Amino acid sequence: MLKVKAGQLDQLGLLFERYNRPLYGFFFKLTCDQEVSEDLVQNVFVRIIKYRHTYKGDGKFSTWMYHMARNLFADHYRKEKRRGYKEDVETADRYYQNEENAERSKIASEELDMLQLALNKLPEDKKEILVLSKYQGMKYKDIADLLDLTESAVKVRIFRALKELKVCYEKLEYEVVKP
Amino acid sequence: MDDKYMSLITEYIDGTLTEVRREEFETYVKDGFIDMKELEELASMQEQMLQAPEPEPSEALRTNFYQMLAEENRKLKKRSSRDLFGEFVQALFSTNKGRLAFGFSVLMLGLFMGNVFSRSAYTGQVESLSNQMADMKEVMMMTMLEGESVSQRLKGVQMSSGLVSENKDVTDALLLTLNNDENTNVRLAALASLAEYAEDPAIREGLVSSITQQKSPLVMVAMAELMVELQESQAKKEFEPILNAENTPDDVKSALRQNLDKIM
Repeated sequence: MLKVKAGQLDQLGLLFERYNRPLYGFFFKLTCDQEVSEDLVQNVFVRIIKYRHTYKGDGKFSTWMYHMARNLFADHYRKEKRRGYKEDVETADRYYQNEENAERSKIASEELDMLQLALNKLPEDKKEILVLSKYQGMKYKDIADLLDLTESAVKVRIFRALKELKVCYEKLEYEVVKP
Repeated sequence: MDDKYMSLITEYIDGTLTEVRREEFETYVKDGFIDMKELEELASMQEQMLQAPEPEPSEALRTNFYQMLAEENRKLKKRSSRDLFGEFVQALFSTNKGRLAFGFSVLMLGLFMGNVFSRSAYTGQVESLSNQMADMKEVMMMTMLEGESVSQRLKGVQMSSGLVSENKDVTDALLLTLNNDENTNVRLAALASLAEYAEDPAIREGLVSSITQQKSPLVMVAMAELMVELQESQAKKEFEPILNAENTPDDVKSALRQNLDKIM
């Protein structure tokens, strides 16, 4: 990244190859929208170029990058809200509308889809911490840096989010079984 | 539930418990603070989560990214060349020193240009004026040399100084005066005037051939002295007839001889 900062933009290709999939996963889990997620990944790299002079090289690059990713997602989320989306219902609908997802959902087990649905029902902050910790496999320390929390606070939040996810999941299961 | 239990549970589920923390965890489980059944359910749900296939971005993402990168690269290059000029301008105008330097250089340039242009116009004018003057002087001189009064002709010869070297008409007129003027003083003046330019081969030749034309002893002696000064060996031959002539006064002959002996 320091090379990119020094003006060697070609080096950004290496960073892209390393981080495009995790970033895409991050956005996709949050938005359930392939197109939006890809746009957001692209925007992260645009921002990296634009703000490369602000990278000091002291913290982890990935933390710095996720900072931008979070800000971009927050911008996107605000914009969507202003347009009057009801997040939980809409994202779930879109998840099934997306052809690829529909295809995948046939193959994947029903539980997995239900998990994603349950995840979508969580408040944004809980959803985010689960995505970062479970899907992105980030360490507590890095999450703590990113969210400006202590490590133990991160662990507590992960536990609470996981527990709430379980509640949502069970509720969904119940709804599926009942009718 | 207490925060410390939650932390431990999270670590347990993620499998990140250290040895010390594990002992702590097990104590809490034994004492019934942590419900292992609930915990296992959470763990199995997490297991499910982790089984989820990683979502794959489409190829368009990569294409778009490299397009964007190439675009940015191009912009960067363009900007860096523009930056050099921009930096220069900024350096010039952002500080007082820079502004002062800029003002000073503009002033110097103005002075220089003004100097060059005005001088060339001025020198051109002066040149044409002095040319006109020289022309007038020449005309006047010619008129005066042809004048009837001796003093006027003398003035004419005096005026010729400064005109001789560059003007053949003036030289010819002076030689004519030297050879033909009836007044000795005028001839002597013409000789003195021409002597200044004796380095010029044409004038020198005219002077030498003028020797035989002279009748006045004063002019002859003056001529001989000039020839000695110029070390003109050709003059000896020219003086021969004068030295041999019967009507040349003896004093003149001896004076001439004395002088001519000095010519190598």
